[in-house]
Amino acid sequence: MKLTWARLGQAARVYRTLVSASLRGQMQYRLDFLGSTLIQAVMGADGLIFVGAILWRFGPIAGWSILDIGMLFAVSRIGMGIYMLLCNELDKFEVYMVNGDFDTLMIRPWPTLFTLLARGTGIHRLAFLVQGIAAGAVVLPKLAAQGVIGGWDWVWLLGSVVWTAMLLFAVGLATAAAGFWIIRIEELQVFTMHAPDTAAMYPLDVYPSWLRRVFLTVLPLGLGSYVPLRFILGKGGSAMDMLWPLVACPLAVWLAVGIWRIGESHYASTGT
Amino acid sequence: MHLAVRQWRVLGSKGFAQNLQYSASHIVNSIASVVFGLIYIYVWQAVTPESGFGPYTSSIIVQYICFNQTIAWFTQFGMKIRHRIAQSVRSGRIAVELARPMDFFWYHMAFEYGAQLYSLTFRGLPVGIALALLTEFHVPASAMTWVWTLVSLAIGGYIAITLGYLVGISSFWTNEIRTLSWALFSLETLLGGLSMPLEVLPRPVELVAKCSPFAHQAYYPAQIFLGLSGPAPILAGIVWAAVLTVIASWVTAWARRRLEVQGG
Repeated sequence: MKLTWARLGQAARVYRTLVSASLRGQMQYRLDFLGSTLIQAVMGADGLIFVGAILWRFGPIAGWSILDIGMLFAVSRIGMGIYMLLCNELDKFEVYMVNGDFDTLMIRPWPTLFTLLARGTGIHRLAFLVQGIAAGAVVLPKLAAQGVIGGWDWVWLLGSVVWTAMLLFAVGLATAAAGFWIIRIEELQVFTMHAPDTAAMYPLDVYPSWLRRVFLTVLPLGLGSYVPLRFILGKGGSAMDMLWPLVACPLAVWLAVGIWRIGESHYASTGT
Repeated sequence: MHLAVRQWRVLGSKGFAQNLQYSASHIVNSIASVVFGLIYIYVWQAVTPESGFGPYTSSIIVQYICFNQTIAWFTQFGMKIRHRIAQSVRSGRIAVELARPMDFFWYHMAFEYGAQLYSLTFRGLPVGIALALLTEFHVPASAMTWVWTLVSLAIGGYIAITLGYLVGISSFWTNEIRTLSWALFSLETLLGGLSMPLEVLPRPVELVAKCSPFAHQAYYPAQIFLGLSGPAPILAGIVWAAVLTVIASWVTAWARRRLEVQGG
């Protein structure tokens, strides 16, 4: 199907309609939504509390102060928040495979990935964004006051958030595509998404080189946050650290979309 | 009494056997658990001073993490009791479950205990063995240390399942238990001492954590295993188990009176 401006405009309209329908459905119980987001944001910050407790007790980790690690946490969480918000259905793709619900996406006049992403936004998972923004709001002014961040760094910081979200999308999409062959992917997601996401909340300098390489290549979530932040915060690296994600993130997405397409062609319904 | 023991044995073995179907996906998750263990170990090795802190040397911290990544498969990870109860309520199947000639709480406890024993055997132990091979891990020489560790662990598992049951049964009042589940998981992780000894926390939080039931899910079994504590904390664990059992029984009776099943 030829991609034209008219077709893109039509896609944007369909996306908006589907997303707003999904939002209306999820926002029927507003008080419950607000309460659960708040509780999840506070209770789910155990990762930050863990790092905070260690820093409070032992001082900087591998030369990264509490502000530096707070920044790393903020970028990781906001990236994850964007991914969860826009790609919620991808995250629970196993259900589509197990119940055979993917059939319903195949009869729509749009690419399955587009329909899938438009079907539901992860508005109930705003807690990640809230955590990231809260951490950023605390550490950014302090880093700026210390002169660590300034000028173009703000643009690069924004870039690292986008790269992190893109890498999460790429890894999430490739993992979901594995579902076309193995059906159940929930456990695989723990390995490909949650483990590297947790690892990327700490400076990768603490890991041995083989593990660091894993988090920069095979499961490359460190490439979106750690690599650019290392340079921005003056922890080493070079200006090339800004270039690698710029090349690698679109490449990762392109590869993941390719895997998705191959997987889609192998899809065999589990429905009746 | 004989009948109750038989019911426990049958339900426990069913819970154990049911999980055998998912061995492939469990292997993937175990690999992830090893990676999580390594992440925490390397973070700890990076921050622990050479002289250590309190009773914890760098080597003991590594063993603490290895042990907890293993037993967490019994006392924390992979527990399905919350969602099983919530789904039963949502589908209306709960009416059949409540009509069974067995106490609702004990039914779920026995089934989940079996499932968690599977989890420890086939998911936790491989993680422990892998981490032991990748790091420096020692096992206690004293038989009594093993005995007290197992007792502490058995109580920790019971406490964990009861807490999960209480979250699950809240679905009699609300359809959405996701937030409560998340809150419970966070409390277990933070106050249970899964990824850090509780002494690292600020003193007031440390004291609260040590008095909480969550500490029996990871911190105290690890302390006993590593020889940092005698069997004394087991008594507090038994008290917590008894208190939570009473609460669970009371809430179950309350939920029974409240239940309305739609359809027919």
